[in-house]
Amino acid sequence: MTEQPFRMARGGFIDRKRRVTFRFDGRSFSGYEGDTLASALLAAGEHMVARSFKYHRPRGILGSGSEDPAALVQVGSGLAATEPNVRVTEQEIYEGLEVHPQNCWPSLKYDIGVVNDLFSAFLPAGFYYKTFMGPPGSWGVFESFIRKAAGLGLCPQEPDPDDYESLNRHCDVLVCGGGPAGLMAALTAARSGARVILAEETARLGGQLLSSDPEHLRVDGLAPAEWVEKIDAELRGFEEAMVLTRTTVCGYYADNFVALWERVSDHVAPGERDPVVPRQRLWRIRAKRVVLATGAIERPLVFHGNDRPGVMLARAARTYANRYGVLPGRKAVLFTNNDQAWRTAVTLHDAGADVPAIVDVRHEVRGSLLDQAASRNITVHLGTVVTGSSGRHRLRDVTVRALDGSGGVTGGETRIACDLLAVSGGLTPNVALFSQSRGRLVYDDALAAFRPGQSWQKEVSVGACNGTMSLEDSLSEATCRTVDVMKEVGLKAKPLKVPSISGSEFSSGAISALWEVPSGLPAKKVRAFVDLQSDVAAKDLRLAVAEGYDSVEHAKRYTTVGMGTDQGKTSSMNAFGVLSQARGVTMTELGVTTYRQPYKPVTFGALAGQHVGKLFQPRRTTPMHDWHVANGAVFDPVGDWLRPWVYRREGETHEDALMRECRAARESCAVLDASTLGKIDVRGPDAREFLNRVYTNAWSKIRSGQCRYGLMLGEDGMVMDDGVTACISDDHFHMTTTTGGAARVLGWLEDYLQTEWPDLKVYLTSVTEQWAVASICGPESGKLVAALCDGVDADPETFPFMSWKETAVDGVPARIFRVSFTGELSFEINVPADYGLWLWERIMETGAAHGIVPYGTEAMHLLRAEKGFIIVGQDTDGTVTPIDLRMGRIVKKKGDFIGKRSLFRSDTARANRKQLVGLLTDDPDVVLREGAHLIATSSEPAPPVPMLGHVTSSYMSPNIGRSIALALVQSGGERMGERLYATRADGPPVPVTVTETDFLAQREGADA
Amino acid sequence: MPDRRISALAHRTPLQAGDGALSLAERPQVAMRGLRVDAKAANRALKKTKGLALPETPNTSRHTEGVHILWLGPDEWLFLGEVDAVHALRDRLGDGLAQIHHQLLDVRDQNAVIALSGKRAREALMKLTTLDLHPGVFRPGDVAGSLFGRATATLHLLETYDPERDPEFLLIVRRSYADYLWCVLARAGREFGLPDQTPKAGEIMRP
Repeated sequence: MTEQPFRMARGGFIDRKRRVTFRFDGRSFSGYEGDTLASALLAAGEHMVARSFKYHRPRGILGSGSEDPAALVQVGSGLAATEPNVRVTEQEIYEGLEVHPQNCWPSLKYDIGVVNDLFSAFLPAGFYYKTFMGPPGSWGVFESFIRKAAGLGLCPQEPDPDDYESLNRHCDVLVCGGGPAGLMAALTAARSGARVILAEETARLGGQLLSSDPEHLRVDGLAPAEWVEKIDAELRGFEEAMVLTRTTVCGYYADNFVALWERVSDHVAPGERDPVVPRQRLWRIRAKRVVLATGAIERPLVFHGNDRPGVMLARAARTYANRYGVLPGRKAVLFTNNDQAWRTAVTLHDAGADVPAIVDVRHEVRGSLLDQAASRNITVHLGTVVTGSSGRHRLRDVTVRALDGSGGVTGGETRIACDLLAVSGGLTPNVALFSQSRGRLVYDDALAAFRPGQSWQKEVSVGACNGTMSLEDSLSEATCRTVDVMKEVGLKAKPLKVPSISGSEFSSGAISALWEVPSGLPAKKVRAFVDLQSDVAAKDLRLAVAEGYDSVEHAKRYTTVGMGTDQGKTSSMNAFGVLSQARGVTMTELGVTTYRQPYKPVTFGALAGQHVGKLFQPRRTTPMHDWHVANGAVFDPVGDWLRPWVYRREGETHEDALMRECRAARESCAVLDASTLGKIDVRGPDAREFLNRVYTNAWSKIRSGQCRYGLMLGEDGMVMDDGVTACISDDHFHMTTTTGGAARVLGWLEDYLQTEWPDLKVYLTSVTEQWAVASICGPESGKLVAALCDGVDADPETFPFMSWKETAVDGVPARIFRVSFTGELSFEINVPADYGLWLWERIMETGAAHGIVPYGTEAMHLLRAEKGFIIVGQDTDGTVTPIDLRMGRIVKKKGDFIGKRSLFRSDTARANRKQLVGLLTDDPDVVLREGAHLIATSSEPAPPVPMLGHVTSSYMSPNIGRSIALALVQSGGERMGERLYATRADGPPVPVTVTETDFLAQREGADA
Repeated sequence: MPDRRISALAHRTPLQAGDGALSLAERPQVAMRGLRVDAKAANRALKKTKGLALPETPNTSRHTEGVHILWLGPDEWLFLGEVDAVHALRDRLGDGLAQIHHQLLDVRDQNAVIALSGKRAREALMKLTTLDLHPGVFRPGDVAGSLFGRATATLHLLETYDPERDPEFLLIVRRSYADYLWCVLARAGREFGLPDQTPKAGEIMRP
């Protein structure tokens, strides 16, 4: 026996000169370049490739493309580059390909899990729901068993080593599907000069043309593949046409936004893949028009024993013979309810197979079909059905009986030996994308299937996916409808001359719908599967209806029919048929389940694209960043920004470093990179009025050279942002915001200017990144600033608090603001950002004589807490008013501002709201937990515990020499000196005393 | 004082694909001014100022006296060019607009300017933006603000570009996003021969 005993002597689009070896289930196989795993395994005579999801029943190869429900395998070895649930009908083989069966142990053929099948009576439809709803704990009992026993492939355990990419394109027309209709549509569009993208799911253009008999069918006098090549060559000649193969249109979204998934190098051995090309691409297409040419999917017939390996869709059998040169069986029986499938019997017979019988459920068929069978000595059984099959891992024979005319079978049973049963229950237009686009489906009796009805988006369906099954009609429809589409986008197009067809085999013929084939067996014994992946039998669907799951959507979820990785491509239509009969309603009344994106499973890698790892998210850094890195900074992510958190010296702990930085800020001098602070340039004759309206305090009298602190409220009266604004000139201000609030505040202010106050003459522009800012703090900072800046007298008398000066640092223009977030003497030096690093290095150099220490955000937080300054977002949480912060002094009485009216709502105006206070623990070494709740009693009473407030900020302060905390406490302002208790999880409540928030002032008071 | 100014991408060196299909470089010498003003009022006021009309067609630009004037919004423009040319224009602009309400700001340091040129430039950019960059759609002089990868930037196809030659795009991006955008552009150009660039990384992060 040769290694490919079922390979035909010739035919197929495979390269017989290039032999490819691969491994499956621990054995070595060979095929040719151009083979899929399925065609190569079939060439070796292997039909059984998998075990089913629930019952571990043997699963063979049913289809020949993405429609196949259950022929799933694990591709690749190792913990990273392995992929589960790959369809053997889609994976192309390459040298060294490693394939493993999944959901079976110890091996595919001898699988322990098959016991599930024996217990199938105990795993009925809705099994999960029944255990959920059953006695308490029953799901817990079953869960571990089910998780182990039911399943598909294994997830990779390690990070994906491959590269992916997403990219965007616009086009006039996107053609989905590279079969005859798609080719015709694409060529019609391309000739009109349109921007065309043609996406074909498989490796080759041609679709069903490649599955047809090359000896028989002629398109414009050419063999099908020759015609395809001619069209392909012409298409590729157009600059504006793009042809993508191995590309699935996986999602149709709003406004003709369509996602395409291209497997760029999955067909190439990993070692031979181009390292600069991604493994897969996700194309995000915005198409003016979409032409759907996705063809039809053959559906199987639902009969007892229909899931045995060796049972194959009739068109798939034809595909293996004509496209891959593989005879899927030597002794083939055809079981059908329609004309087109008869071609399979003819093809297989002519390819050398013995065809002992054609079993057709119809009592009458066209004479030409009978003639074709008769001329080949094929026995035809009309009005007859297959009632069962046998064979352990592979079909051995089928039994057939005659239909009795009233839904049952009659007469004797005929057993026919065979190794292949080609089945066809008719062709279902592949309407998944149409339906994803929200188009409405209509039931077509002649097709016994749904086809596209009313469109929702700008697309057209052409060819078999539109229910147009004959090749001639399909080609003509494709070109004519594309011409219409071209006109809609303003391009002139002419319909192409429809090629002359001879020997066509595409006619669907008069179909006789038979949703479930009678077997003559007692109902309990019938195993007629609708969904071969999820192991859903026809009786499960009937049970769902009997248990009240009438809606097709409910029945689907209850039984899991069509919910597998195949999305019900071969099963949904049959399920609808069984359900409509069980309920006694028409298909139209029954309706369909919703088709959702994606059309088939797409790897997460492709969806993430190139935006992974170090390119996952931008990290914003300041001009001084490299210095921070070189000097031991540990970083704090603030929004997208990285800010130094603390600078740790050799041998220091975090606490050591923090205390050192905080002490320097009050004892000598320290410098903070404050470049991330939001900055907005405010300009215009109405700028003051604008500031009056957006801040709670008054701005009318501020003079140029002065600065002022302001609180910004939301319309609800709650504190939203704060910052210092400097008056540059009468109509010109420099506003600062919090780092995190910068973008939001600018958007909010711009929104107000454009929509609420268009009468105000004010322009705003963000200058956050125009300026690099070094904030120097500490008693020595004045001397340092004087040393740094050209001609600046830093004497507090002449350069008072809350003022600013235009100056220069060694000739570099600078703005210096004498503002402070620490309560200490401070100067913020602003220079154009390109000079930021230079400035910083100069500060460190000049500052060395003054004992300069760089400090980070943690020290900054601590220092401001010593002074009792708030941090918006830490001491406030969107429910805190300025009055709550006891900052009522900067809320003006006269004049309006955003949020003012909300301050007079009964709830915001009541006296017993939570207010910001300081807390000092009795034990100065105890640092409260931020978030700790405050209560009035020394021990925690039984719940519900009456809570008075919570700690918002808490630190060990080196300058105060003890722990300090800020808290929001009910009526806090009236509780000065009061004893409260802070709860904790790991001990009794901590006694604390309510104080003012300015701890520095308290210390000075105590010192004096 | 050349070494005092350190541009946002000073740590990167220009990249070029082997066959010139794509090249990537910072333009650190480009000066920029942002202008906000009412278009009609400004163009009336500027009538006497020869050559200084602001483009009013959305997403377009004008090239005058060595300066590109980019339309950013109905009342917002960006002036971009060599330092001397921008300074000269700024002075004339300031004079021309002196009597009307406007905001003119130096935004040179605020932004980084990245030039991407070569015959594959459009393709590389379309890996990062949903804008239609087809030559028939995005033409010389066109301007668009959009998302490039995860960063907001303004894209400008230089109007000085000759359709017979390869396009030259400028990307104007906030300086803190420049390093990310540089690296993601290099990644987009990998297929066309640009070397990989690793974003600044490796900082010690707080626990």
